[in-house]
Amino acid sequence: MSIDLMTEILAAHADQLNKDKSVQTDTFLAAFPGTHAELAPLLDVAARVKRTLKPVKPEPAFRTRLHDGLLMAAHHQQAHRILIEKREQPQWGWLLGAAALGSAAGLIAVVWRARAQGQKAAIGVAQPSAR
Amino acid sequence: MSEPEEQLIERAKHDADAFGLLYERYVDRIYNYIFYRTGDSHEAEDLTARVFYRALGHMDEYRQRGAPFAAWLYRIAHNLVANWHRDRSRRRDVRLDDVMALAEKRDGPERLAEQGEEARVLLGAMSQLPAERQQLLILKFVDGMSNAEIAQVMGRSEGAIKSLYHRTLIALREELKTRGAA
Repeated sequence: MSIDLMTEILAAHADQLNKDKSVQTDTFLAAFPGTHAELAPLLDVAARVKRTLKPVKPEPAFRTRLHDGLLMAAHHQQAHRILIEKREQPQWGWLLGAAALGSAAGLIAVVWRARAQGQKAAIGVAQPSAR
Repeated sequence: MSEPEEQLIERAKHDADAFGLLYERYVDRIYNYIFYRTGDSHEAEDLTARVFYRALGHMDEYRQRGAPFAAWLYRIAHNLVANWHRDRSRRRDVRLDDVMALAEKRDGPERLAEQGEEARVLLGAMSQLPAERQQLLILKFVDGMSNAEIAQVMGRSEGAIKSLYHRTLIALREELKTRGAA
């Protein structure tokens, strides 16, 4: 018998074991005449593994504790992400405020300078007549 | 009707409650896998927790076009179990007493008495197999996965999984023979 055929038969048997625990080796091998000697021991090992490896359940207290911890961590992660996104966004309010303040300061400086120059000119005009 | 998985996964990337639902879907399967790979219920709890915390931290990196979500979780679990074996230099064989204690809780003492010796010998023989072969048997018989699903978890073709299963049964039979239990 070819190795490929054996591999396919073993795979089909495992599928059967997962669907129906009471698969009889002889009944299963009846569909493949002449394979009994080679396959029967391997099918027997597979059936023993299936009988032994059964699903176990974690303790309910552990399940609940982990669930709560994960939810708390997920909320924390979510809040952290929102905070980072906010930081990365430009702060338009502050930018506009700073721009307005800068403009106002500039305007005041221009007006101040203009007034100061006007006063100097007025003094300059008055002084020659005093000589 | 429950929410489709793809939708739930996308939601879980930014919604804590959606991640909680994914956890509920997979926690038992991941715990089972780790329990049979370590043979210790306390280590299984610790590593299961680590799998889900790691998944939570890397949800953004998960892409649905790749392996299914279950396969992604199993790969995380597989890597953590491998590190656990390596870092702590533990023996790979399962702690049979722990496995049997859980089996007793599950099946009742009478059933255990019938199967106890067989289970002990078989688990002992299984523990001598290479990690990937143990993984295959657990995914196939504890989780009831198809060869196609196992192939996705283990990153191989379906044909390669069938061949590996064949070789695993031969190796396990040889191991049982050496223990006089073939």
